Amino acid sequence: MKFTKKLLDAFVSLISVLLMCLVAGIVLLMLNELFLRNILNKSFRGMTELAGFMFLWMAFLGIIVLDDQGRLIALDIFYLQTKGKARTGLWFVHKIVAACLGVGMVVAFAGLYPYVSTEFYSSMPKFAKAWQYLPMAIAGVYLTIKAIYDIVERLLSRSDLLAKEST
Amino acid sequence: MIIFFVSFIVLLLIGAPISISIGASAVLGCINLGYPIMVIGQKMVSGIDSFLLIAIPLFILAGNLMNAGKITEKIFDFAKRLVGWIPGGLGHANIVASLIFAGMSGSAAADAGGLGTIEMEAMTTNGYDKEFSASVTAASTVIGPIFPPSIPLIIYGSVASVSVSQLFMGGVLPGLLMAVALMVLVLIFAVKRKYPRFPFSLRLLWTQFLQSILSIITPLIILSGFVFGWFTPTEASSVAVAYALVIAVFVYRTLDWKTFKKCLLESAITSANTLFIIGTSMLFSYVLIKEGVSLQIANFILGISDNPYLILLVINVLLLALGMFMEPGAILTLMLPVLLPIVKVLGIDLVHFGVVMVLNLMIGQVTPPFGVCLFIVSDVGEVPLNRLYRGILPFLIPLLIVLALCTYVPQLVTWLPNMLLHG
Repeated sequence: MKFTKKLLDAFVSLISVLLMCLVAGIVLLMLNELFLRNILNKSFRGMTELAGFMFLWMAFLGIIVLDDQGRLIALDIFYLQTKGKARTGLWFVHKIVAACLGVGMVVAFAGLYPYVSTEFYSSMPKFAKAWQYLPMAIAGVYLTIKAIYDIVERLLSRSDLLAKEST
Repeated sequence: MIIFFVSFIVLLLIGAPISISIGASAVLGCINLGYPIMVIGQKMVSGIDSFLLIAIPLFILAGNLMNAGKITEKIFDFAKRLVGWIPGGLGHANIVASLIFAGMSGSAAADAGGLGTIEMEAMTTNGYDKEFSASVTAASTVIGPIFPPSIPLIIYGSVASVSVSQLFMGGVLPGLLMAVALMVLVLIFAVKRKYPRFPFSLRLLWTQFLQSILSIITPLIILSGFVFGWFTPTEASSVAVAYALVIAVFVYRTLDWKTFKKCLLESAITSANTLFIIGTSMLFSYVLIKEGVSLQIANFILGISDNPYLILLVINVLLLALGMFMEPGAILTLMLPVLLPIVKVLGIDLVHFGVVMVLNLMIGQVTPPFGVCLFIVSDVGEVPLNRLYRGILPFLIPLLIVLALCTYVPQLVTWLPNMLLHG
C-alpha cells in the first residue's frame, strides 16, 4: 500500500507541474497570436488550435489534482451532519460512484478509439483526435485507481484497528 | 428515466461531488437507455472543447495574480480614499473595490477569497461588526460575475452561441446598478449604527490615485479592447494575465517565483472544477434532450401563460432556487437547452436573458442556506454561517430589486451593447 501511495503521490506531483506548464503555455500562445495579428498583421490558426488542445489536457488533468486534494465541489451540508457508520457508508458510496464514473470514462475512450485514432476527424494535420480524448481516459483511470486505493486503505486500517482491539 | 433522475438527486444530496453526481447519473442513464458508450466521451470532451472557455482559467489566473501580487490592496486603498468619506466608508470601499476587481477577474470566488480577506480585516479593525463586514463582502462578490469580464457569461455565450463581447457590455449597467443599490443599503445601516467614516482629502485621493493607477485602469484596458475590436474575450483574458504579471513583478515587486507557480496551479485546478462540471452536464443535458424531457419542461413552462413577464418571473424563481443549490456552470449547461426555446418563442433578447440568468444564479450563490460564496466568506472571515445567514438577508433586497429592474427593463442590459457594438 505504501508503494502505491508513493506512486500516486509522484503521479499527482508530475501532473501538477504539467498543469502549471499548460496554463503558462496557453497564456503565451494567446499573447503570441494577439501580437502577430495586431502588430504583424499575420495569424496562425495552428496556435489557437494548440491552445485549445492544451486547454483540454488542463481541464481533464486538473481533475486528478482536485480529486487528490478532495476539492471537487460538493453539496456536502447534509453529509457533514452525519456521524459514525452513516458517514462511513456515504463515504464508501462516494468512492464507488467515483470509480464507476472513472471506468465509464475509460470505456468511452476505448469505444471512441477506432474512430478518433485516425487523422480523418482531426482538425490538426498529422494529429489524431485521440490525443484530445486521451486526458479524459487518464483522468478516468486515476479516479478509479484512487477510489479503489482509498477503499482498500480504509478497509485495511479498519481491520488493523479491530486486530489491535482484540489483542 | 426515473433511475437517471433519482440517482442524480440522491448522489447530490448525500454529498458526492457535483461533477461526479451529474456524470455518474448521466452514464447510468446512457447505459439504461441503451445509448452507445462512446457518447459519454464525445459529449464530455465536446462540452469543454470551446475556444471561448479558454478564457476561464486565464481570468481566474489574473484574479489570483492580483491577489497574490497585492494589487487588490492598492485597489482597496484607492476605493477607501474615493468613497471612505461617506458614512459607513469602508462598507462603500468594499463594494467599489469589488467593482474594480470585477473589471479584471470575473470570478466571485476570487473576490471572496482574496480581496474579501483584506476588506473584512480592514472593516473589523475599524469598528464594524464581523457579521456586517462579512455580509457586505459576500453581497459585493455578486458584482464580479456580472460586470465584465465574467466567467458565467462566457459559459452562457459558449452554450447559447451568443456574442460574449455583447454579453460583457450588457453586464456593465447592471453591475454598476448593483454597486449603487448595495451602497444605499450600507449608507442606511451606517447612519443607523453610527459606523465611522474617513475625512475627505482631495490631496490624499490624488496621491492614492497615482499610486494605484496601474491597478485601477485594468478594467478600462479590457473594456476598450472589446469596444475597439483589438481582442476577443479569450485574448482579453491573456492580456489581463500579462498585465497583472507585469505590474506585480516589475512595478510593485510583490510576486516571487514560488507564488507565481502556486497561482498557475491554483488557476488550473479551480477552472478544472468548473470545466468538469460543464463536461458532465453536457452529457446529462444530452440525455435530457434525447429523451424529450427538455421539451416537456419547456412546454410545461410555456403552458403556464403566454405573458412573457409572467414566464420571466417563473424562470427567475426557478433559477434563484437552483442557484442556491448548484454551481452556476452546471445550471447554465443543464438549463439552457430547456430555457432557450422558451426565450426564443417569447422573443426575448438573448443578451438580455443571459445577463438576467447569470444575475439570478449569482444571487443564488449568496442566498442561505447553500450559497457557495457564503461558505467562502464565512471561512476566510471566520464568521459562523448562522450569523452570516442573518446578516446577508437585508442585502438580498437591493440585489433582487436590481434583478427585477433588469428583467423588466431590458434596455438596462441591451442599451450599451447596442450602442457600442452595433453602432
